[in-house]
Amino acid sequence: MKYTDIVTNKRTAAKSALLIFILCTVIMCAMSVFSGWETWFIIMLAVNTVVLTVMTFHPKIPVKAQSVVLMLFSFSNIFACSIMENDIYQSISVFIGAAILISVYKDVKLLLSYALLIVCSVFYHIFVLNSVSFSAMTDITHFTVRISVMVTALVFLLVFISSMNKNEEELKESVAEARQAEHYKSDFLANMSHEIRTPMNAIVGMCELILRESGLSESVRENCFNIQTSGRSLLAIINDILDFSKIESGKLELIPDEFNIASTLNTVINMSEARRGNKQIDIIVKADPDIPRGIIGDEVRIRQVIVNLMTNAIKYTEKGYVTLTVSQSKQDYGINLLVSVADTGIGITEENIEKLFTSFRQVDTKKNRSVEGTGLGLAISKRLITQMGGFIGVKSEYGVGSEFRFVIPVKVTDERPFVTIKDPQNIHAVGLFAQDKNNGRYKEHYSEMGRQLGIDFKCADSIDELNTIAEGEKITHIFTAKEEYIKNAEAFGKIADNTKVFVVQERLDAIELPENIKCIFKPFYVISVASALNNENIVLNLNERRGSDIRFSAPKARVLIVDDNAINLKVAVGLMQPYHMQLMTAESGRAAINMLRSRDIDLVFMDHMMPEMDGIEATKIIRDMDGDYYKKLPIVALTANAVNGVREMFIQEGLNDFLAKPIELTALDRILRNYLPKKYIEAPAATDYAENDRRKKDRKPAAEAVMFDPDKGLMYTGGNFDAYREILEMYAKKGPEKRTYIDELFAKKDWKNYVIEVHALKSTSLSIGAVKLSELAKELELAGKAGSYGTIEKKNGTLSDLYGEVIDIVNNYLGENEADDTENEAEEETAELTEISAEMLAEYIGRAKDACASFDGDAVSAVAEEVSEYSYKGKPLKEYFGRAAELAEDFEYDHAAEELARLETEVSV
Amino acid sequence: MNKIGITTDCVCDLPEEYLSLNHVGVVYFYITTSTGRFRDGYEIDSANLIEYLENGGKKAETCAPEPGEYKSFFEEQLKKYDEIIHISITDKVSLSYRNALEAVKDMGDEGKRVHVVDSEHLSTGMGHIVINAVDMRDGGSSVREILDETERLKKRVSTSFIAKNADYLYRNGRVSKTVRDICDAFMVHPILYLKNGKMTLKSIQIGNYDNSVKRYIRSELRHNKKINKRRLFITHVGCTVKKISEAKAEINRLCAFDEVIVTKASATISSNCGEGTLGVLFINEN
Repeated sequence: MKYTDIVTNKRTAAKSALLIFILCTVIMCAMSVFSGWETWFIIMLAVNTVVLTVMTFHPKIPVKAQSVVLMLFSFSNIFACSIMENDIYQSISVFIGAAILISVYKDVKLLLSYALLIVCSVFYHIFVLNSVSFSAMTDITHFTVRISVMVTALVFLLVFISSMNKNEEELKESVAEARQAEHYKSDFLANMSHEIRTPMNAIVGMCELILRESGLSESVRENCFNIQTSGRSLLAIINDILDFSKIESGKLELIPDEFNIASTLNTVINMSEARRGNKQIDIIVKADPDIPRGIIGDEVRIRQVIVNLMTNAIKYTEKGYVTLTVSQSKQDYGINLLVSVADTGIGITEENIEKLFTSFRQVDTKKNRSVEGTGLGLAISKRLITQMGGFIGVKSEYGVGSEFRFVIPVKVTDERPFVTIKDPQNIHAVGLFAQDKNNGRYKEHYSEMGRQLGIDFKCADSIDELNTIAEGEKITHIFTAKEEYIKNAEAFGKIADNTKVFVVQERLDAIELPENIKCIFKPFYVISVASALNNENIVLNLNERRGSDIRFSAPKARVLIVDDNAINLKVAVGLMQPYHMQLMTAESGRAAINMLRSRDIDLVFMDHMMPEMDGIEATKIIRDMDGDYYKKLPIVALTANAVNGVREMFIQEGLNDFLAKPIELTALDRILRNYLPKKYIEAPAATDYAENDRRKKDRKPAAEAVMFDPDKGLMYTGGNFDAYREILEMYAKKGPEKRTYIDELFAKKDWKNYVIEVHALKSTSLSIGAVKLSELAKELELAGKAGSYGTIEKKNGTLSDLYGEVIDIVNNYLGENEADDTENEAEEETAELTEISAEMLAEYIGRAKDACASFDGDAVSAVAEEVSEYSYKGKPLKEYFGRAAELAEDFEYDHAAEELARLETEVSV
Repeated sequence: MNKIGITTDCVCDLPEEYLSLNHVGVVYFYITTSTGRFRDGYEIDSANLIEYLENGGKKAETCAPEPGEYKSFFEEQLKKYDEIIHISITDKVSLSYRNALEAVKDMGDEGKRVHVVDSEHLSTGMGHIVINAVDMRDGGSSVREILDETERLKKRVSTSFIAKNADYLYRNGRVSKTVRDICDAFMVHPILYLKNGKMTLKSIQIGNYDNSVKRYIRSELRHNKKINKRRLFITHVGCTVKKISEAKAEINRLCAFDEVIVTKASATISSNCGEGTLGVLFINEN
């Protein structure tokens, strides 16, 4: 209860008392008129009423004063009545009524004063007016009873008020105690969260170190990974609690700084993609490219809210899409940044919307039992947005989806748009996207995107329409969906000779493209389009990327990656791991500067936008440090900035180059080649080549992939390749027989058995990954069940042909795999024993001998381990060195040295 | 045939889906708080505004679009339509009608293709007029026919609200502090009514608010034979689902409408009457 509430309550009580006073006054006036009392009485009543009304409604007069005046006026009015009537008995009940009225103020002293005045008036009647007669026993009894009733009533009121006051005091104390307890709870939560977070960070970090070690058994690796994953989940919860308790206790301070929304979007998309995992939902991003490049706000907190909304949307959506829209409206003070996250999830009922932003509450918990979370996310988001001076709201339809929207006012430091296109007037792009149920939505979105970027962007519904457009004008760029590309691969191949063609596809499900066709990964939004149009190196040909996966390795190179976001760091580390470099990470510019004091880092990837100290600021400090090392150290900016001329800007600021986010391997490859010391660049390990080749072989040409997709088939058999191969063999063996049987049933018009057979074909084809055949079989099965035999008659021929083609493809696949396996086994054997030179062998023998001389058994074992993969002149070295290591382990160093000497003689090093 | 566009102010309180489905262009009002200026219904809603004010937010001014904004809006709309009928909130409570007229004047000859109508109503009272104009346009009526019918219709629309208290009327200077205090003290709930475009105090209800709402509904629908049963709007500010259900039940008990549509009042409307406000808005028969 707030102080203002208490005051308001008292004022309300005073107003209620005034109302009753006025009603009583009106009755008295009526009595005065009917009884013909003197005029001054009515005047007195009127004056009293006016004075009391003014006092009640005057904001500066305290309620206490009003209550005293009301008590006095009530008494004087009633007393005057008793004088007019010359009878105290008539007035006693009115006195009691007035006492009840006065008790609304819950003031014991006031009531006692009133009781005293009544006693005085009684004495006045007895001794001055002599209006009370005690001549008869009945008079005395009468007087005693009346006075007793009045005294009892007054005593009752006094006891009642005292008890109420006592209760109120206790209540206030309880509220104060509860407040204090809440405060302690918040402090406790904040402290505990902090205390738990420190060891949790250590647990997660240690797991990371363990996982980086080689030679771990599968079970240890899996257990360690599970510990790390659980630790991260726990850390996320703790961070939520910490944030919430900070906000509750008013300790959370926003740190506004200049930022570029491109960086925020990139991080949000990375994190959302990671959250999405295998869910069959599209993440659509709509961003207004005219949002100013430099805006002021607490980027970390803004990102936290967007990530939270995106996470919720992905969590509660099983199919359809999640749309992130970022727009702006210009204002005198800068812009209103408007962010909306819409989904096609389960939606929220009206009742639950009312409770949505409440702390510690997940709505519809019964239905969402499987959904994890503390229920703090939205409460935190709301408080953060409110603290930023903005508003957050939700619209939802149960079963259809929800849209969360927030707006925050932000100042602008750089008016230029965050995405710009080089020569937009010269760009004439056409989009051809798959005809699916969302086609209309996508088309609208893409046309709007083109309009916002200031380029001519048309949408075509078919390849014919695309050709018609091309006939009428010069098209510079074509964007198409994977599905459309597959359907028209040949046509696109020809178009790509004269026009830049980009295929938009999912990262996890990408198909191989010819050399002249480029790939853009989803989400397809302004930054990726701008990068494609500006040739900023982040769009690439998939073949080029995959072919160049591991073009070299640099195990001796030490590379530092700096990014404030853990997911971004993980992505970058993951992409650089195949180069076998020594990777280090830092989560802030300051941490990076400290790490660089060791002067042994060869290349730095520096995130541009970071809180506290951004990449440019950190680079300036590094360049100003003493020593040539810091002046020459290559520093490459990591940025989601998709504006033209960004490279020049970074070079001007002292960086060497930039790498656009999302990082793509061709661009990364170029940067590493250019900036790593040449002496560290080595040929990739044989296993890397083998892996690349295997991947290339596994990939099927686009048209064939539609007919038969082994990845899908493997998925249906739980990833067990042996089981999958068995199924394929059976499919290929029984297929021709089944095909003939289906054709026979068709010829006999035995629809009942035909339906049974196509039903079986539907399932078996799907289980091996022959999706197209499965879909056609399903269509014919449904047609058979519905009695639409015309459809069967029309399409059975296609089914039969397709079935035949799939059987051929499966047979080819089985043959190829068998050949691959034999080939791979042979490759592996050769790869196991790499030939080394005489110099290298001499070096290993020398190192092992030195270790024996210094009685260091571990060092001998280490050398033995190192040489286990090598052979010299076809002889495996593992055996010799292994024996030496065993002897050294038994402390027989002399014998170990002899063994090594024998080897030296045998191989004549 | 001329392609006619129907446009209106965001304070018509019609559902967003209806407006977009029927291509009704909307001009946004603004709410200015101590932190910024926000588009009503797009960047801020009534729940946001009420919460802001209840949590000690001091400044909350509503503001009609400037003539310049109307001008750009009309010019944009004229790219899609031959003529536009803009249905504006009542002239007696906002500057928007005058601003729209000024914009039309500024547009010169182009302005002749824009017809600005003072609806003499607000909220879904104005929404009824918009829906009627959309229906007539879709039915093939001419601009003149729509304008004539709109003039007739606005006399038949009933726009009224019951406010929980007089706090927000006081905040906006519509009643004095004394009146506000008296209403508080005696649990008086004012019923506001649009008469010839002007917002007036129609009557009051005294006592428990839930019962007062029911009494208000009964009083509004007492002449149910004279009411057009096609559609009724329940427009409210932050009422709970339970309260809305009770109101709906009371309406259904008194009068069988083809459609009872529940909408939330815009922040602009909410800033004038406060949380708990509820209105039943309908059209009377001729």
